[in-house]
Amino acid sequence: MKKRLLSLALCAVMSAGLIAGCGSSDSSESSGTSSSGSAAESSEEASTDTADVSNFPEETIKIGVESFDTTDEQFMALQEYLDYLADNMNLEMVYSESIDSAEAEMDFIDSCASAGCDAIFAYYNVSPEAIQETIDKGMYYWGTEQYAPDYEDNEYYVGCYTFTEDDSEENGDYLGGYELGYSLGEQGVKHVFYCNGGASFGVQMFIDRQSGFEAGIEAAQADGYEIEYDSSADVIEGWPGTDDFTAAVSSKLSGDYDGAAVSFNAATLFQPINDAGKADSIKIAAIGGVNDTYYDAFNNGLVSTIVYDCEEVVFGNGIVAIINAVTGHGDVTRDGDAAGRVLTYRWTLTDPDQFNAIYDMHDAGEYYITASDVANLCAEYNSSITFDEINEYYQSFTLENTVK
Amino acid sequence: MNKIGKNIVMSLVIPVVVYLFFFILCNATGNAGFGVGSDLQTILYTSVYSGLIAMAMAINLSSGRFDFSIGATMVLAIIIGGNVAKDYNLGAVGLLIVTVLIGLALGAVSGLVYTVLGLPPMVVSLGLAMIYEAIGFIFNKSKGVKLMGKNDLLIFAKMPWIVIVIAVVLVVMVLLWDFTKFGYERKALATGQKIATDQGINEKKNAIICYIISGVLLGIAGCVYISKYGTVSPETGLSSSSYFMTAFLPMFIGGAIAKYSSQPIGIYIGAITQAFITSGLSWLGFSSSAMTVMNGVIVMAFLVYTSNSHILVEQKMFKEKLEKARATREAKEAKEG
Repeated sequence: MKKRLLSLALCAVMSAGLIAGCGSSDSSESSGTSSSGSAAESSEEASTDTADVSNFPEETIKIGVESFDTTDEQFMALQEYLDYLADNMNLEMVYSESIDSAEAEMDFIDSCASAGCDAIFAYYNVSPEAIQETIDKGMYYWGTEQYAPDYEDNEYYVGCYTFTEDDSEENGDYLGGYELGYSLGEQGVKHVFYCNGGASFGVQMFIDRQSGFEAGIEAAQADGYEIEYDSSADVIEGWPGTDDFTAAVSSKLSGDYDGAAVSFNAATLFQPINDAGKADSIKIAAIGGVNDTYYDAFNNGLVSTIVYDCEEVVFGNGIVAIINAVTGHGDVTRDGDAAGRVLTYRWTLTDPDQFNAIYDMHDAGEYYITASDVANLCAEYNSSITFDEINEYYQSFTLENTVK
Repeated sequence: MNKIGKNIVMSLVIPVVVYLFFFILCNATGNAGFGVGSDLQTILYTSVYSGLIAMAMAINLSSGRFDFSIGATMVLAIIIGGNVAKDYNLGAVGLLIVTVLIGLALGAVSGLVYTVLGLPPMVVSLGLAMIYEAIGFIFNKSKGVKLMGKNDLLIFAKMPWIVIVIAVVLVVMVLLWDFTKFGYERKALATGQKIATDQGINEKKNAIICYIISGVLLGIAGCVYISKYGTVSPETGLSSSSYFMTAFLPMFIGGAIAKYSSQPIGIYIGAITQAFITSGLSWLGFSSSAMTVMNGVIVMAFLVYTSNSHILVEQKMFKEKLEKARATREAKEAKEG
């Protein structure tokens, strides 16, 4: 009996731990006073007022958010923005644990359906079956551009973001990798090594980033920049924490490299580069965020390029699409007959002043696109809004327009 | 050659042969950086880090307790210890002390939960790994610990500290293993639990001490790791298990050569051997997947050897006996004839 009670107690503690681990965070502070800035001015329909929209929509919309890694810094930044929206609007977010398989993704979607979610916000997706499962369960689905052609006619598929205006196969990851390669060439780097993350293990996003990086290097070379890269010798596979990664970094840092491109969180290279005495001679370009991790490294020049997806700009349109669909204004999510793809711009940061401006704004709990801006893009709140206006609004948030 | 000389040679033969093999191969292929200068420093770091984790794992595994929470314990200890040391400006020694104390406390919790519940260690450690991961995730708003650039704190992956750390650990571990009542009892329990407990050895007390020592070693490993990378992120979904995947080869090599020295020394020599292999393959341009395959093949080879080495001894013994019998018979026949 005693053993059974103790086992039950352990189970209870484990469950509490898990819930704490995957539950929503209230760490972000709502400002309610931020301005959508000059970018918003280019969109006439987009309002910069800070009206109280805490009771909008009338009925709470519950949204399941899929993530591949709940400790990933970009995801945590997005989570802060979504929590800010949830705090300032009548929304509720349910976050997944780290999804590492199609089964885990299906389980999350099923549990969202059981929990009464209205929609799935696919920050991450493993399989197209997940989209079908979401639709079959009567929930709306936003995200995953690669499968959009198969589902764009379905009313429950409410769109996604895109980085390209045409139907190019160069997706966001490819373009992110391209920026890494080209930017280092442009900055005068002569010899670069590339940390490819999961590319060698078949992880598609990393494969695309590597292809993009190599294309970026070729483009830089074609434009006359003298950057060298050999795809067989200048690559480090995998992630930190393994002996082979440590050994590979060591062998690269003893070489003549003056540039490093990293397809994941570059923070793990800062200390080894520092210890090797190369902090002044190596420039890092990374796909990363504007946060504490990069603050010092960007300001002291160790990191010279960050390819950054501003959370409210790139992903925020998903919340607009979901609210419009759930409140019965599905037509506002359609571009013609198909689900709309909102064109957004990725920001390539090379100037510390730009980095610091974004950092300071987010650090103060403020956003370029506020909760009231989001409400203004919803037909239930602003009956004259159209998909074209929403698309135009998000397109206006280029780095140059937004961060002065 | 006397016994001590033979033991030294037998203990060092594997790493020396591996080093020479890769040194010659790397130099022959134009990769002269292997095993010298900064690469040697990396090999030292890798061997200390892997060696500490392998020792932490072996202390329980040799008694049949597979501890799945090893990675989670290390990550949680360094996340809490690192943040406390940073926030209170405790310095490098403070970082080590706080992290080790937290590792010790987590080890004690693991040991107590295991002995009180009496459930299979795999089940208990799986549950604890999830709890430790979740706590590490919640702590510091999921940001883990970031000490990049704080060079006054991050000294344990550099000379001479890394050598001091491993030397102290090895001395203490050898004393604990081979010269204390705890060590004798641990060995007795590992080789025959029923007989040992019938003799009056307290198995639960011994297990708790093993978990505590394991926690301390993981706290030290956490300090070495963060001194190398400057940052540790929380892990979720049992992904902390990746931290102990490099512990197996040192553990098996250690098991094979422990008879020539001591198990902790054997494990550390195994870790050095593994570091040579990893670094050598890296200089030769092997991919990460190929290295994983090589690592697996070597682990398998060692398992095959250690599981069947008694057959060689038996064959040798039978051969000697047979020769002795033949000689006796021949002598007898000669005498009669």
